[in-house]
Amino acid sequence: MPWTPQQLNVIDAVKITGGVACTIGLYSILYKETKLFRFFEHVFLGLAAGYMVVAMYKESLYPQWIQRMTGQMDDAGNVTQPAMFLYVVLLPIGLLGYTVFSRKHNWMSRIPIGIILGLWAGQQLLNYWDTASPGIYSSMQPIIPTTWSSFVEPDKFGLTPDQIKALNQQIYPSQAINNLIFVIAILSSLSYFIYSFDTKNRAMSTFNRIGRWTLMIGFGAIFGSTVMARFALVIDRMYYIWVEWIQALQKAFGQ
Amino acid sequence: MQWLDTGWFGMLFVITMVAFILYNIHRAEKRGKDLFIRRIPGLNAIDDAIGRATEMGRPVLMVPGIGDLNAISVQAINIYAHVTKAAAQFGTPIRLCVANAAVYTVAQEVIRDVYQEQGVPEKFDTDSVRFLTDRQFAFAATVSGLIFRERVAAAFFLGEFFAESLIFAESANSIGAIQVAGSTEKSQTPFFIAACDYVLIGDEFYAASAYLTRQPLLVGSLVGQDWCKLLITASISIGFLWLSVDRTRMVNEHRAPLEAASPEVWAALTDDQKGDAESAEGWAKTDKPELIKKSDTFVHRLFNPMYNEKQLIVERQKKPAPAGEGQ
Amino acid sequence: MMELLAQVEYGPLAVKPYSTEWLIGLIVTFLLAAGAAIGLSKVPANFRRPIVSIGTFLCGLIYVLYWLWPRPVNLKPDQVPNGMVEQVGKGLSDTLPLLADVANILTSFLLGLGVYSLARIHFGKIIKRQSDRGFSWVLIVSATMISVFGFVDYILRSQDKAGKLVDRENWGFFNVGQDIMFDGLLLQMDSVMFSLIAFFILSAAYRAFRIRSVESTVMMASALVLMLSLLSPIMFQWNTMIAQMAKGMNIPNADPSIPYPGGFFHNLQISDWANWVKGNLQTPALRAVDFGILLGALAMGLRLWLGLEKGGVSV
Repeated sequence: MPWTPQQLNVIDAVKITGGVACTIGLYSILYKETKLFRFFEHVFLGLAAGYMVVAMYKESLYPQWIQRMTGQMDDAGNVTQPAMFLYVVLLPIGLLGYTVFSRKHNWMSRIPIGIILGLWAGQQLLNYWDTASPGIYSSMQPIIPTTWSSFVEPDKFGLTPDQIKALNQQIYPSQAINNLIFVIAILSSLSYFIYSFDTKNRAMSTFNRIGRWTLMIGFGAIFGSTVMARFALVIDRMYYIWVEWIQALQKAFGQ
Repeated sequence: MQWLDTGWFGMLFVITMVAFILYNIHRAEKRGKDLFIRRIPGLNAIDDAIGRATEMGRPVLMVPGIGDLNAISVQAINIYAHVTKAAAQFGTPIRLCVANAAVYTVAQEVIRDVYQEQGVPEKFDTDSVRFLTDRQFAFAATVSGLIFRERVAAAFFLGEFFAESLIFAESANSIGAIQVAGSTEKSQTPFFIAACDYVLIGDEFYAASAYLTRQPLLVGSLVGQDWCKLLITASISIGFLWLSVDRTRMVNEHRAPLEAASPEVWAALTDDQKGDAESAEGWAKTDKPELIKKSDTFVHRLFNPMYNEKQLIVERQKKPAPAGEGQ
Repeated sequence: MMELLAQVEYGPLAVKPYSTEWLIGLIVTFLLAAGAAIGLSKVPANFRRPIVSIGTFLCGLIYVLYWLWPRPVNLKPDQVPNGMVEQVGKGLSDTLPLLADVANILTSFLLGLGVYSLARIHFGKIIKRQSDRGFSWVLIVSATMISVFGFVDYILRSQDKAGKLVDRENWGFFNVGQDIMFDGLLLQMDSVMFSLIAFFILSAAYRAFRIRSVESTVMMASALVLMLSLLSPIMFQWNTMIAQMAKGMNIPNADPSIPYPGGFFHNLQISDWANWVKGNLQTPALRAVDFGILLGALAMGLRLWLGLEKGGVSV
């Protein structure tokens, strides 16, 4: 039986009221850990755990395993993906994990774990260069200016595209100084992460300290830029309560 | 295909690193335990934290991050094995909360083994290692609830943490727990620095097990990693000096876009994409000397091979036409 | 349609769905694997570690080989690889995507262990009649409800080929229930917890500002610059003020074609400060952290792959 629009509005109101209750319940942790928070915490964990089981089947086992094992056919009965029966081998391997309960055979639970870790380790070697090389390359910043005609990059207002292109090719002294700071920053930060050399040398320990400060500035910058993003989330919550909820209530029970 | 042009450089680089690590492991295992590691303050705090938990008779909380089973969670569990060893000696209760089923399997095994090794298998409580859920914020809510209810005396957050890091850290802080934290996610480290007592920055996390156990294998590997970092430092230093000098040159030839080498691709280009170039090769030449472009330098080419597989055509036999299956 | 069909390639391991050879293959593989598993349980203790290590090594080896073995250049789907080197290369390239989800699938199988852990703790509380067992009931009921509703909803939706359920009016009881629990409660609670961070960030910042160490001051100073640059009213006021001052400055011999003389003075705008800090200090600092972390992962991966780790996670 199709729902009437009024019934749908009531459903919406119930749904959003539930969401508002959750918001208040979980926010109560800011005051202290109360029974109210504990109630919503357990609802949350319960829903998350229950949904996890559904999602495991829906998002992992069915598309990634069962469908590959049985192959796929479209509605007309044409095969779109061949069936790879070898995938069935993962079932006994996965079940070996359950030997943890046995005193005698619990070593076998390391087999699926070893496979997961082996695959991961191989990927690290495969991907290392692709991940690290852009960082290494872009840290190589030129520090010799190519022109002394101007200290800072001149204004490009009203120049032809060709002239702008030629200007962009140049390295201005100010840019060179920035690049030098960049290179010092990265080398000194890297030196902080060297563990096995004793930095008793005064020059080295100063360099090391510069590195530590650079790291702190870098972390501070992340902190600063995240604060605003997090406040946007609170505003979003407030909108949910004061605008969406009230609108839904009006729609369902107004008039 | 990956060996084309300067593709060898990346492989050589990584293989050198692998060799550095393996060589140093070998060297350390021969030399024993006398290798130097600089002080890492966060790790010295572990014993104090457990001592305090023992005095207060409250549990120690450990969270190995919310990531999948990989080196990060394995490393976290290795550190927690060390923490548990101390806790088992004093009989301090532990809580290890896990957000991934595979990590849970590993953690359960490792922690039980620790109690067995310490000769107190009866003190191991199966419920002390808990799987909660793999959902980020549900996990965060539950752990922070647990922090408040059980009033943990010490909390360890080492591993792969994301936005929930601050929820843990502030909850634990508000009940006055000693906190040792470290995340491999660099975007979370500042929050740990702001909220926690001791923080492991970046790969201090990976150095931790070598620092704590002084196993020659781990120390050797750490020294190898240092060599690799020196290799990176050296490459950056040589690279930026070389590039600095190189960028002052004038040239009248440029590296052409990828399409230039393949007649097929060239033919498929629109007039707009062809720009001023008359032929595929026309892209590369200019009339008068210009300042060298970044992409024309040798250093650039080392990191970005000039030829790629699209430009090469290899003669091969055609496959036989598929049989009439399924029609 | 013809093109699509032509892409289906059968081989000894990839067969026609639900055919006889598929069924035989499935059963034989399963029996062999299960037999091997049972056989393993009889293995003497000193072979255990090598067995796990070899398994780990072989799994990693596929990726390492793929990394080092020359892959065939520009191989089109309708071409036959030339010679052995190319055949191996193609074989490796074809195997890799099949392995991509293996770790995921295995983790899914292990999820049962996790669910067992959760269930044991909470059923344990109920059986022992602990005082807070009411909350355990809450947890169990909500978990059961969402899994039942979720599965029914999933099945209804996957059978709904005509797309009737896209329209809310046609939803049944289970679809509505799933929507209220998932969309109305679970997702909302996710974002509630996420937004809680805003309050925590304030108290963390307050404490960090009070710590009187040079490093913490440096960190919070850079945080402050970034924060101000993102607060649009302040940023706008500051930048306008600087621009006005720059405009008013009388620079001798200034190029008349430049609309705003005093170009260097523009650098005092807070957004420029923020960009400078980000570009010249934050980026290199974080990159250095990245290098370390990547190397740590590489070294750890190497040790796990070659089975060098002792104690802890390894047997």
